Amino acid sequence: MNIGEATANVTDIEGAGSRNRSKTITAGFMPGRFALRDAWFPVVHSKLVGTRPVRRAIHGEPIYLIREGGIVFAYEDSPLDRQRGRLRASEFTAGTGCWPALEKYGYVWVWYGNNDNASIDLIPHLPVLPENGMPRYFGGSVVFDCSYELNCENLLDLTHFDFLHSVLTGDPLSEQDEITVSSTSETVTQVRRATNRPVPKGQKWFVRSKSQDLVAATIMHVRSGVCVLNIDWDPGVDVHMVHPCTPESPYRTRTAYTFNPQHCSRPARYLFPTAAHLIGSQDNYATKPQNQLYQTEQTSVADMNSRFDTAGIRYRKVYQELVNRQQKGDFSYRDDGHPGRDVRQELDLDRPRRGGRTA
Amino acid sequence: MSNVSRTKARATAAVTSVDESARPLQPNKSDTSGRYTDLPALNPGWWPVAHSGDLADKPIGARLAETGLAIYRDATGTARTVLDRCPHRRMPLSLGRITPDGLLQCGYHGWSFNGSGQCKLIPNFRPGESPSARIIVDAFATEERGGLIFVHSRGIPAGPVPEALSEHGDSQISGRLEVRSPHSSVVGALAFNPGAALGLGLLLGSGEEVIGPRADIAQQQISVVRERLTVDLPRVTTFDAPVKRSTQATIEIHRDTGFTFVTSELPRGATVRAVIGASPVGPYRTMIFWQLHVSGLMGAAAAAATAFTWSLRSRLGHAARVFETVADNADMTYDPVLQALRGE
Repeated sequence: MNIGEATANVTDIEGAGSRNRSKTITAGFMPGRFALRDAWFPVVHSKLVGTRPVRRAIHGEPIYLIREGGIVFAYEDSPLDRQRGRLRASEFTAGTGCWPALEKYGYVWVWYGNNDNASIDLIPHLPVLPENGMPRYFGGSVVFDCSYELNCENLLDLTHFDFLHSVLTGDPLSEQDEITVSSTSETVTQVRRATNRPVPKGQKWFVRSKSQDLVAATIMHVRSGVCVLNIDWDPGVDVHMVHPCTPESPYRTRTAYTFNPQHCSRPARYLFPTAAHLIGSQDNYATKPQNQLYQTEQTSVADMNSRFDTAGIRYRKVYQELVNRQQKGDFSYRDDGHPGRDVRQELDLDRPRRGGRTA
Repeated sequence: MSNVSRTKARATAAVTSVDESARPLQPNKSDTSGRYTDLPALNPGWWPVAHSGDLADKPIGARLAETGLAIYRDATGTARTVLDRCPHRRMPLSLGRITPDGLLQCGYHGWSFNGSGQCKLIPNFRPGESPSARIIVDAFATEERGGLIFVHSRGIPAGPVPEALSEHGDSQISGRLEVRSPHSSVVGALAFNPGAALGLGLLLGSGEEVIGPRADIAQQQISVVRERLTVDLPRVTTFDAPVKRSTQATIEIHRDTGFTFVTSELPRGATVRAVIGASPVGPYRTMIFWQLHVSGLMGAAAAAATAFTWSLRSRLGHAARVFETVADNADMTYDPVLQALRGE
């Protein structure tokens, strides 16, 4: 059975299913034009920050990270500039020159927005990682030449997985394929459940079965671009992953990824993170030229969609609603979209596996 | 700027036989619905966008009047042109591939389009299911003639495709050049001194104009005969030119598109015929496609020498700089043909 026979069980959101509505959303989508604020961004892996400064950026604002007395500080200015007394002291640091920053899940999180609203509770819940992070080998940094909005949409895009990354993730042929898309005011969640998919070429060395089931759960935090994934091939590897899409500029997104492969042998566990740059370069092949056309071409042109683009359209809708709210000065989080809520169940982390450890 | 790599490959290939380079004109509307898109920024006419040899088993990208185009050959070998932007997620279609059944497939999600721009395949659809008829990418009327691919700037193409070059002469070389000059200045340079502009002075003449111009200015076409010193050497104060040999060239220019034919004669009965197409890429950039046919034994030697010098000039970036200088000078020159082209 083909994915075409899948049922897209879309959570009821006003107008979400309307064809005219989706046309309006896709026509008005302008990635890279607005910087959503009041969110924690995981800018770098904690283990990379030492006594030498590391420079990162959020929406074009520079961040110099340095560890002083075991504590990470995020400055707006380079150490040399601070020695010379040159301080930016922008609104993002409330005139102090120092960004709100803290460490959790192996990341340094930096608050971008009004410092008064920075609450540790607003860090997204990442049940796929231990509180103190993973060993350094399981993380890395992929830089995409596109705005973070396109990168986020790419992660919610089902059909490109089946086409662009089919060697590693498999083609669309499944006995049954069900896709569920739901959203809150801050997140978009997509869960795909497929049964009896042929084992993709890239996994045949590790999986002895001819077919496998797939549960792919993706939670996208629209404001910060943090994406939490649980991609469970059964039998096969169960990839727990955090894929932040940190906006450095309208043309550059940094992904400080962390893998946490489960239910697989030690070699497979250590081999899987090497796929990041392979998959990343395939995505960048598409999103880099795509970004240019979104930045330069007239934005009144509506993108066309198939029924497999539900999650992407939903992402654009939530994103646009956030932009509209923030343009009116409303930077608050609504109850339904609290980033720190427990998402274990949403990610279906506790589902029983048929294959056990086979990879 | 000259496209060094392409020009190098083309120029060093030097002499090709006519039969190999000529492709028969194929009717282009066998599977289209007659729906083509306008390029309103351009005058009505056929505009060159690529050499035939550029199209192999992959689509290529080109620009015409600031519009990105994806050009490819379908399963029948017919050249097709569509907008270089997938209507789904705006990935350039020129980065995709051609499917075995001749569809142009986007490299991102695999949406596939036929020559009239209609989406015919979405990979995740169930067998037998067709994409909506509303999923269309803009398509442009395309013809292939004499080793060049032409796109018409109107949805309903009118007027003949420029005459095939390959039917004339024995030896052919071709090249391309991107210059930072507006299209009008480039056409002016071709009308005034094509030999100097393209560095083909030994074949078309490039020095001072000694006789002429004799112009025949019609509504669609301008024909002008100029006789120039063959080589453009500096004169010592008021002394006559050190080399007095001259070359007479007949230049025919299509007024709407600037498509130009230049014909001249070499010693021992050899004839030279150049075809030069200029397409605006942006407001101040023009892509020039040229082909040269030279007949006779002497012509073959001249073609080989031209291929060598063109390759060298392209590598040094000299070709584009020289053309831009000639184009700038043409803008400031009084000449009856240039006046007519400017509409004065």
